[in-house]
Amino acid sequence: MLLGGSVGVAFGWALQRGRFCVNSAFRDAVLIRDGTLLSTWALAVVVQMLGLQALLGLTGLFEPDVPPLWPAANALGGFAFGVGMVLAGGCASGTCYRVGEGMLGSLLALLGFGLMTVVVDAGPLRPLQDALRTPLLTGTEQAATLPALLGAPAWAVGLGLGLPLLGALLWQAARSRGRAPYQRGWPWLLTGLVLGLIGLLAWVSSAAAGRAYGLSITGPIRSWFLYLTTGDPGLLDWGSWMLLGLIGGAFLAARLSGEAKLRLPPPARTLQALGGGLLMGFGAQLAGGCNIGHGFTGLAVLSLGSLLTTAAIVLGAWTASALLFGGVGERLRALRGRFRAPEPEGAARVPVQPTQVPMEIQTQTTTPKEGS
Amino acid sequence: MSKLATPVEEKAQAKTDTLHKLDVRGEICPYPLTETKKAMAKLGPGERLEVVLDYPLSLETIPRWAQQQGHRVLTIEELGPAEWRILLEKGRDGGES
Repeated sequence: MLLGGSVGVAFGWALQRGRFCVNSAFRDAVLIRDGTLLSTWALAVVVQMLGLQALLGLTGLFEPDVPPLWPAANALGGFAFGVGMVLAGGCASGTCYRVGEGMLGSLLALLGFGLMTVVVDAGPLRPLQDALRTPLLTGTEQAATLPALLGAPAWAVGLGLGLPLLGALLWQAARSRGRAPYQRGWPWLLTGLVLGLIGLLAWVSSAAAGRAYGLSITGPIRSWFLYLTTGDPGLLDWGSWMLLGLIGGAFLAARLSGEAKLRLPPPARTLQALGGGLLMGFGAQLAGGCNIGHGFTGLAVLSLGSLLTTAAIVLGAWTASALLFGGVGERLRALRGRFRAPEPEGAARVPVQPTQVPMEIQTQTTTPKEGS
Repeated sequence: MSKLATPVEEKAQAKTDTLHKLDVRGEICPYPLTETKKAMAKLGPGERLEVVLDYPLSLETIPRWAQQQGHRVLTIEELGPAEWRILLEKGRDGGES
């Protein structure tokens, strides 16, 4: 309880100060070509992976649990989760830290998330979960990881993938001298590094408590909802306390920096947050994890299921963003406007969006223009 | 709290009129930004937009976006606990949004 809680406080603190939200990361890279948060996420993943693979390769301290590969559940669940987080305005970690900041819309999303994990795992949708969670590699002893697929030792694959990526990120950081125009929170390099290290610490701390996995959010939320409805204290583990610590840590960080306040979005958006939360819970439970369990921790052990889920989350997030905010949605609206009787004004105002270029982590390089 | 580029603001003050206001308090990702984009698209070059928000993430992304678009970030002020005001000026080239 203490182990999990203290890691959680550190995690929540770093999430809040770094504004670490994978939803914003994926969305902003496309929507406004701002790759800052995407770089943060990549750095955090790489630091954790390098640290973990080096640690396990050198010491063999524990045998990490590897999220299984369930192609149908990973893909469908990840996609649903990706769409849901765009609606809810935050991924699992983003939503949790915003609850600490006092965002009541995010609180509603989190409650919806938790409810749906139970509905899918222990409720009426259980048959769907059972049907979709068919493993691809039945009968094999080995966990479904990229190293297993390649037949190479995990540490070698980890270093081989991680070091070049780390180099690219650092090179990019060194090249973009441009200061952010305004920065209250942590700069992205610090956030990525700290989150990566907390992710690594989480593995060790959690393994010491008999749970050979790192940070996750879906499982812990489910554990609280199941515990509160069944009363079985055996359901609570390291992760449950980590989650409580996370929200507390985010609250402390927000409070001390003058960013905590209770606030509520407009009514329609509040409902949208709840809907998004329900969809996130549905997807994350099917896939066996969210953007943290899969998209952060699972990537560190190079799980194929996590790679697939993460890709599906990105795809879902981009689809939903494009429809809601992006060029696609505006073009559709423009098209619809064209079939209507011409309106005196406004209809033609839809700005022509520059076509979406394939995303690259490159917005960092734009040097700030001093005025214009 | 932190003021940004006061000399620039003084210059802008001379341009009198056309201050538009946008209140996105309560909104979270990505609405403060998308609403700002929409509002800026309606402005003419040199016109200013005041955005009032209480969502920390957008407090950093809106200035980044504005700068990237060639708009000017005139001031960023703290209005009260977890409430801020960003003052933007539309760039000369209009900054396609």
